[in-house]
Amino acid sequence: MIKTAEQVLVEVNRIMCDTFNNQTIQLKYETTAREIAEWDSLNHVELVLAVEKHFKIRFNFADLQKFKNVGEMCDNIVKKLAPN
Amino acid sequence: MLYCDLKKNLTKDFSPLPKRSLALLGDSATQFLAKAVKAYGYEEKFNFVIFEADFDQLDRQILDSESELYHSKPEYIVLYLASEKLLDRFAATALEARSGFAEQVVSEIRNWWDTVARNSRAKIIQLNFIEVNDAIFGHFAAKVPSSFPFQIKKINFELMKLAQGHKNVFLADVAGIANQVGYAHSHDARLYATSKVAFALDFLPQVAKAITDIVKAISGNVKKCLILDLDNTVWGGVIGDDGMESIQIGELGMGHAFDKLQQWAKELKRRGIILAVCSKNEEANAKKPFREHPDMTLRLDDIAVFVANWNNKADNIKHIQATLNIGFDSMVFLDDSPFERDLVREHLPMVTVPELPEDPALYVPHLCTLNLFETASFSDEDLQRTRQYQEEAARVDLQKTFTNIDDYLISLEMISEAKPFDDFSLPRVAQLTQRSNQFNLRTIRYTEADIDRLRKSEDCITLSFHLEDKFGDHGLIGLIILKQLDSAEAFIDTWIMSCRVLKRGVEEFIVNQMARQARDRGIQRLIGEYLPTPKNAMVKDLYAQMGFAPRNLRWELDLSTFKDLKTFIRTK
Repeated sequence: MIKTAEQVLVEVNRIMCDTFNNQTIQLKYETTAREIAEWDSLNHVELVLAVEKHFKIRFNFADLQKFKNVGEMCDNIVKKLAPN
Repeated sequence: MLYCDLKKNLTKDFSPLPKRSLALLGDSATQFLAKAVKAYGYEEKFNFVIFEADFDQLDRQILDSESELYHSKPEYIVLYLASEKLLDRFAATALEARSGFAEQVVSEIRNWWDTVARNSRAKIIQLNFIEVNDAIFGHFAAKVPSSFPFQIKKINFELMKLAQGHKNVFLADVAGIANQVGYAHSHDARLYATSKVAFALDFLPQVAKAITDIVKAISGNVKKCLILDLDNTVWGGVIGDDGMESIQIGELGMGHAFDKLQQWAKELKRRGIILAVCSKNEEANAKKPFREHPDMTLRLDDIAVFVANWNNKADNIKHIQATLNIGFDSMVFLDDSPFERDLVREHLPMVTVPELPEDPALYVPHLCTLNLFETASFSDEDLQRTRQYQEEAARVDLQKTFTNIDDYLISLEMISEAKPFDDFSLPRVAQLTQRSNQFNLRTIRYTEADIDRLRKSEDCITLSFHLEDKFGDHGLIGLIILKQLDSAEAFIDTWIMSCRVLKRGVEEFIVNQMARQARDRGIQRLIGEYLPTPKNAMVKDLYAQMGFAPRNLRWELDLSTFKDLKTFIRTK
């Protein structure tokens, strides 16, 4: 299914709220882990796996370390969802 | 259950639940497992207070008797070594030492178990190893003792052998659960590579269940009885409509699926689970296949209580409960009908009523994943249970022929004997302390190791009671632990009796024997105490009935004036 980065960001935001058990988180394209209090390394793992499950995709864990912000992760998801 | 769903329990209110302190030690990252155990505890109504040691600190925490581990005073210590970590260690082992790898690992684990036993009374829950094949020798590894698959299987096997001699150790069969779901679902290599978390996230709820199941069984919460519906549960079809020739068992229709369920129930019965039948049928119709059908695995003498009528099933299960005299929470009810399942769940919420898949071929595989019949002990006496309940039915029939209770008791020709706990009675004694809820004055749970210590203690008098009558042997039906407080007084730390022998004069016999043994030691007073629980109201007046006088919040029996109570039980 084709989705835009904006749509993906909304869905990632919802997943993060559930995973971090905090409904007030508001993500922007530029948001980084440093700005979200709950976003430690363990929660990061949970988030990534929850995102994978939601979009039915699998990340290359090596790529994950290169993302500078939430937006780049969303771009990567968009790319994975796009038909070849 | 998925990890993300289980995790939601963490926001629930744990404060009304009974606390269980548990320490978790692993050689990989255990934070997720700790969360899963805490959250799973909520499912089974435990408030686990978890001490988590830092990563890979097993040696330091266990070997140092002043460590945080022992200061946290855990009731349970979970030891978890990851197979992936084991493989690293194997790879670092010199080739010529690899055939002895399992021995080396098991001896280290044994040292941990022994050290824990010296430093604390905690029970150890040791997770076994997922049996990974490293694909170095392929299948041929089975014939190469120096291969990893050979050694890891050997470790699991040796741990089972070793655990038999360690009463405080319980093995959690993680390898068995991993077999159910496969390695691809029990381990996530990416998670391990980045975070040293060796279990896949969605495997954690199952490991947490294994740990919780074991804690539950050790706490005395075990299933004792399986109640079976008949039509489309034990056989295919409806006996009243189809007739005995057309019900599906054996070769007929889906027969083999039902054979599997019968076989499973029969094996449970052989282990000591009581089987009962609860079916909407004419009794004669319902019993006929048990008597006459050549392909039935279950026969009439496998069933302790057989109820077939047109009453509602909740009422019939109440009748079964009253006949067997066990708690509703120790019963499991199997029925293919969603209507009957809901009815029983609604009226008897304590009874466990598992969902059943629509396809009968899936009944047993599904039931196996639920692990309904976890236990913390197993003794020879478990094997006799159905026979004992059937003998009891014969006694009830005899009792109906007497109008005077004394005449009935005399006619039973009862014989008993008070013996100190010995090697033979030890497992059964521990089991009774773990399982008995109703006739249990103080409900103190003991492991076999605890019992062993008590029986060797100078300050304790331990008494076990067997009972025989003309219908058969009841086995071990009562136990007493007396703790001498000073030269004049002994405290009844534990008094447990089997409800099967109520109202036979066993209580009186036990008091007489306690008095005799205490007097032999020069003790002048017995002190009893009743600690109420939701289940032991039946003994709240026991000490008054036995002639004890109230003193403070306890009960006292003055042995200088005590005369033997009336009983028709003779001493062996």
